[in-house]
Amino acid sequence: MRFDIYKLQRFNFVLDTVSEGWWDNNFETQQVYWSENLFKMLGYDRKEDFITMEIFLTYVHPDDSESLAVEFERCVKEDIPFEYELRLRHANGKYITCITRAKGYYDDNGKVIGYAGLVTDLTERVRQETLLRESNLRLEYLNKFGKALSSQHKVEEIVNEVTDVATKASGAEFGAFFYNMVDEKGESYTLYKVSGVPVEKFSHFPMPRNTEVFAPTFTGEGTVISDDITKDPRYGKSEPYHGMPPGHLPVKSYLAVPVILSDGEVLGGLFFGHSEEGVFNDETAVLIEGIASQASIAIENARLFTGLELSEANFRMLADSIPEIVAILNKDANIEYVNKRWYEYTGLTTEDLKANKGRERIHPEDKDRFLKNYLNSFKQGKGLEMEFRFKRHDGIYRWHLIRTVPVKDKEGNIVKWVSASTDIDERKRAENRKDEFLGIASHELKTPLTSVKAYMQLIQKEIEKKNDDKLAQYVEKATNNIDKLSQIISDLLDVSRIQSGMLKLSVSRFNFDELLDEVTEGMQYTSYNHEIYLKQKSGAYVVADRTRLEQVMINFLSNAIKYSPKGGEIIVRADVSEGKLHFSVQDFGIGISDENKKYVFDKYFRVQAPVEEFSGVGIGLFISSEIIKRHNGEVWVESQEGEGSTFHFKIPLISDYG
Amino acid sequence: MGKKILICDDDRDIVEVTSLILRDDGYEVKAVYTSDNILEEVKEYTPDLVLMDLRVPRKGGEEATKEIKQDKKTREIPILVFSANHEAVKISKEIGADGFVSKPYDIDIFLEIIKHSIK
Repeated sequence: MRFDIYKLQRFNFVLDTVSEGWWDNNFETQQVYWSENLFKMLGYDRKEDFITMEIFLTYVHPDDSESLAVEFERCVKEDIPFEYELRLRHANGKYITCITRAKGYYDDNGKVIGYAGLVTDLTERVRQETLLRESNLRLEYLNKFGKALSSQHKVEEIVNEVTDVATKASGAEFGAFFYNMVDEKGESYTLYKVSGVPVEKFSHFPMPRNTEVFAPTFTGEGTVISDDITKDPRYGKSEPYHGMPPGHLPVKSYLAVPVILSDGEVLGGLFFGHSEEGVFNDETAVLIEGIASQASIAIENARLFTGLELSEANFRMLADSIPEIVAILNKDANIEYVNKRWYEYTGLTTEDLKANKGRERIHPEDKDRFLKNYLNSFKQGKGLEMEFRFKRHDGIYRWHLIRTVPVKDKEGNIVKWVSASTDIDERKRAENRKDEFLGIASHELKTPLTSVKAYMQLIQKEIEKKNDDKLAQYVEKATNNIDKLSQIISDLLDVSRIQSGMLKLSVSRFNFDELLDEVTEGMQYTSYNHEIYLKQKSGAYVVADRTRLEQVMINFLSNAIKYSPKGGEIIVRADVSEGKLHFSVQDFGIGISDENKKYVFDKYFRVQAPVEEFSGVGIGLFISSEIIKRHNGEVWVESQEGEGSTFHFKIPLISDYG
Repeated sequence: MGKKILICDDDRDIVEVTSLILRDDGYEVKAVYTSDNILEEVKEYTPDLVLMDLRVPRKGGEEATKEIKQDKKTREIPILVFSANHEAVKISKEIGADGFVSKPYDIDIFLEIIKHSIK
């Protein structure tokens, strides 16, 4: 068969208009035809239309040429299409990856006379594919790396790991991570970690300074990448070395990525070096930037964690150093934490705490009250303060004052309770001693006073018989002052008890009107020129401290007598309304000014005018008001100056005085 | 013959003036200054009323009152606690006394209480 050159040329023309090169290997002529485009693809000017197979193979990468020839022969033999990926030598000496796809063509008898095919440049595609595959891998790697890092809570560990991994991933000979730390005094300093070389190679060099090369990294401006840093215009500008200090590892390829925290703070930088040129490319930079951002997240977490640990440690140190027992309860009132004092005091263990053994240490007499108050406090969401006896490790009960306050979130919901308990046993004892002392003192003072008063009254009776008015007046004044003294001695003990919170009620249920009769009758004896008129009775039983209520009623009545010196009527009323007992004593004496009214129940208050006549009320009303307050009641006064006063109290018929 | 009152109190001044007041009012009075042999004294003297100080030496007024109140022969005899103790009222109830007179006392009220208690 004759080779139809014209046909071929036409064909050639069409093929040359597409970008791919093509070839034709004619077995009959033993010639290989390369299209113009194929030569262009490889960077050559067209040399000749036809080359031999031997020449063709010289353009093929040596590793590919043999297998290519074998494969081609196989396809021809089996009469199948030929497809092969091969590297062809470019005019610049580098090989480009190509693929060729060819088919056989036949003579009229159906015999193969040649193969012709197209050549496609794969470099761009190969590159894209590689990139894609690599970046997927990188992403996966970064994720894994990030996960591993996030479980680290120590900054130093993170820095070590980041430096090693980044150095390896970048292909650098050595890498370093310079990072800023802040010490306890708030002063910042720079630490570093190196990878790829022993740390000794670095340790004698000064820290990288704010030179033109380093600045973009330490200011967080961005990544610096250079194929040869020594040729960089920024290089070698700074004193004293004008470049690397002598003995420094030789660096040409240079990559530096800042590590920036989420608040913009530049933590430091990752630096990589290689003695050869052009080791780092944009992909390396992207990878290292990824690692840097993972590092900054991990370091930030670690800092938060360390901060929490530190504040927790501070809290524990504080809680363990105070003499109080401290407990933190969750919103359901379960104990979450107790300080060291709790363990020391109770001698109990963590297991005991979990088993609620602390509760068993409350004195049996205080336990019900304690738990009831606690329950109320939690139900109402209000703080609590109470005294109770708490058993120490040696079995001794000691008085404690416990205060519990709710801790609320921003919305006002209770999230926790904080409870602090103070050992007040010494104070209690001192109070008891004071109480005891005052009890004895008042007894001892009253004993001689008893004789004095009795004799004074006997003298008075003798004088009355003799009608000596002057002497009678003197003796009466003396007797009045004995009463005053006696009252002061009694009050002293009461005031002391009120001040120390030890005024205890001895509560019983009794007929109030019986007490009313007793008091009014008894008080009538104390004055001849007053008429105590019991205008209304209550008809009620009350639960209260009978003796203390009597004390208040006597106080009201004796004040009424004292402050109505001209004598006259004193009206006593009692009634019940809305579950409360109301008692009042009305006199028609000198009254109290508006200004003084608010002070009458204060300690040591006394109506000022005229002192000589009315002195001595003193603390009686203060004690009365405290007694009524302890009964959950109220006291008040209505008064018009010059017209008289009415003193009132109101207490619940039944109240819980726990 | 007047009613008999036994005063048990260690303060001689108080005993003296109180005895004086009571005798003036027509009572017969005997005083003991300790509570050591109180039961024997009561049995021997058979008073119509006992005035009992709480801080009387040795066993004290509380114990003495209980002894008298526990003995069949003496338990009907009214006992008034005679004390300057601020808790005399409470204590007198607790130990089973029949009433109290607090020190210092007002003569008129004192005599009224005595009269009332002996009935």
